[in-house]
Amino acid sequence: MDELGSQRHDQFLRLYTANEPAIRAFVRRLVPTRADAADVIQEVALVLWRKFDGFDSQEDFRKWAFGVARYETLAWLRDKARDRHVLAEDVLEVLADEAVSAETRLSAHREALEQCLAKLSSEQRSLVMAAYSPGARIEEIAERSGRTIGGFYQWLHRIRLRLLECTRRVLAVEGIS
Amino acid sequence: MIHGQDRLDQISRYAQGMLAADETRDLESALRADANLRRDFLEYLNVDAALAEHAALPETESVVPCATRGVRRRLGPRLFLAAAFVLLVATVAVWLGRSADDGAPSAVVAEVLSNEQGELKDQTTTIQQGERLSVSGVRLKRGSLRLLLPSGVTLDLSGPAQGAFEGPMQFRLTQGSLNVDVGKRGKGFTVVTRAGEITDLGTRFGVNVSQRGQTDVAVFSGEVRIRERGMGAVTISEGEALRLHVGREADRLLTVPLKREEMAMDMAGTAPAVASVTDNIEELEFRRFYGVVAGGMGSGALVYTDKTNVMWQPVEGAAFPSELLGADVVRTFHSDRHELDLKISLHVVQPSAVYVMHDARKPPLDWLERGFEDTGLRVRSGPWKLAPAVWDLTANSRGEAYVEYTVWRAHVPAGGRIELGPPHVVGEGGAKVMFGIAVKPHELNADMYNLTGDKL
Repeated sequence: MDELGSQRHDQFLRLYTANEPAIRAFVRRLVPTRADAADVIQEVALVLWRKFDGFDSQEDFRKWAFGVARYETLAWLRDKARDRHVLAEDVLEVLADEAVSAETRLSAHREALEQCLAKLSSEQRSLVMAAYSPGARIEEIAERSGRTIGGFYQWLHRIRLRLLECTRRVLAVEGIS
Repeated sequence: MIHGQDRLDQISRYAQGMLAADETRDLESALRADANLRRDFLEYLNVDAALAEHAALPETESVVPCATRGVRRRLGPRLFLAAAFVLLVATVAVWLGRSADDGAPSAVVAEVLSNEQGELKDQTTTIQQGERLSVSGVRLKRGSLRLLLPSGVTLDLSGPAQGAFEGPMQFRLTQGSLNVDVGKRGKGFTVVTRAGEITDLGTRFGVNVSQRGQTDVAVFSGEVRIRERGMGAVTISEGEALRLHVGREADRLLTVPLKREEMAMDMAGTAPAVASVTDNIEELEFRRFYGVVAGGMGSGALVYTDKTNVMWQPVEGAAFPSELLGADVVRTFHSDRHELDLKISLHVVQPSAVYVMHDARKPPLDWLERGFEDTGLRVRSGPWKLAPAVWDLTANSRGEAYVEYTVWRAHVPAGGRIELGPPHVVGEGGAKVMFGIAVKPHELNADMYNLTGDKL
């Protein structure tokens, strides 16, 4: 790689690293499962790098990346729709539009989550993080928590709702709604 | 507003890929028709994405303590070995046979990793670093002794201390201070005291037992299970501490003296100018502690108790401000940065300057403007990686970013208490990072003050 290419690569890495959580979250909101999101995000990262020469450094990188991620995600979903239960494309288009315009608020939610996680008991936090860890074995974590697998999924759902309510309270205090 | 429970259950099952075809179509129709449901849908999946992001963060970046997380020690192995070579070879008390405690003693073969001015109380045996001993009990008058057990557990005792093994995986600490690092194989190692039992779940923790049996426990990484004598059991995690009492329920331990070089309790070191740190948080399950490092301020000092790799640094191209060097560091909780009503109270025991480091990206906090002066000094913290606190900052080629702080100062001319206000700035989108605290006795900045402690 020549010097110019190397600089460009560094610039991409800096921008991608800074925006990766938002891009991941954007993709996650459009696909049914976290495993799907992991599949799509790999492809999105590759496409972003391939198209990076066309990115104008005066542009907002996140907005540009969301556009690429949206296209790639919908293409992936069209492919999967043949054998999976995914939402109709018109619904996903609306969700993608609304996700872009709500990104400031959604990003604030993600930041507030850290504070809300700290309010869980250490045992609850430990179980949640174990369940979300890459390669987690839910049956083992459910057993560790003393619940059946179904019971554990229900418990996780309740925790997500608690965290969502908590982030909403934090944002309300900050005047973000 | 969150919609009916059924709809939320449906979204939850969609998020796990468990929705049947007819249910997917039903959810689809509802999403088409209802903007509020779409908002709930996006926010619910946003939480799901953020949780995955937290769980995937490097161990030291996440706020969330986790049993499987390891500590990043600031004293590297090479430095440790170098230090060990220059340790004075002194004497320590080891004895075989029955101890004074009720538990049955048991000899354990241990390797002496270091013996720093440890002194025998009764029987004297001269031992050297690297020696392997059969040890049933340890009695230290002063100094410190570090032992490596066959299980991989490292015990670091600071005198005066007394204890005895009750098996290869159990140590009874009668009095004194002990730091335990269980390594990869030592999970389940238990420290027994008069007030309770502390069982390691894969971690590094410190224990201090007073003459009356009061037991302080602080966890530096991972988790421990604590069973109070005659009471229940509780699990505490990285950054949390409890004080166990004989005969009554445990309470939160707010101030923990820490060593400068590594995440370990320091009961035998220099007494800091800050005698105690308290706050007004009264949540039952809130057990975070403030770490106080005597004279620890400088480049590389840890900033927070819940971020084990974020350190104080000079700003780029400058030296660390000499006015701050050698101050006591009070490690705060980064997770407190959104608290609206937080009040932290410092009890300072000698004439000192109290410094608050505040995020330079944010306007000054009102209580800082009222009671502190801006020194004009700047420091920064880092490295931060993939953390919400720095998503607005440009990272370097290693993906690391640094946060710059303004430095504010208030004087406590005769010692006493000083109260700090909340970190949160209403209307500013909240704080991105928690403020930092340092306290420096006036006598250490003698060139700045006259004998009465007034600023010259």
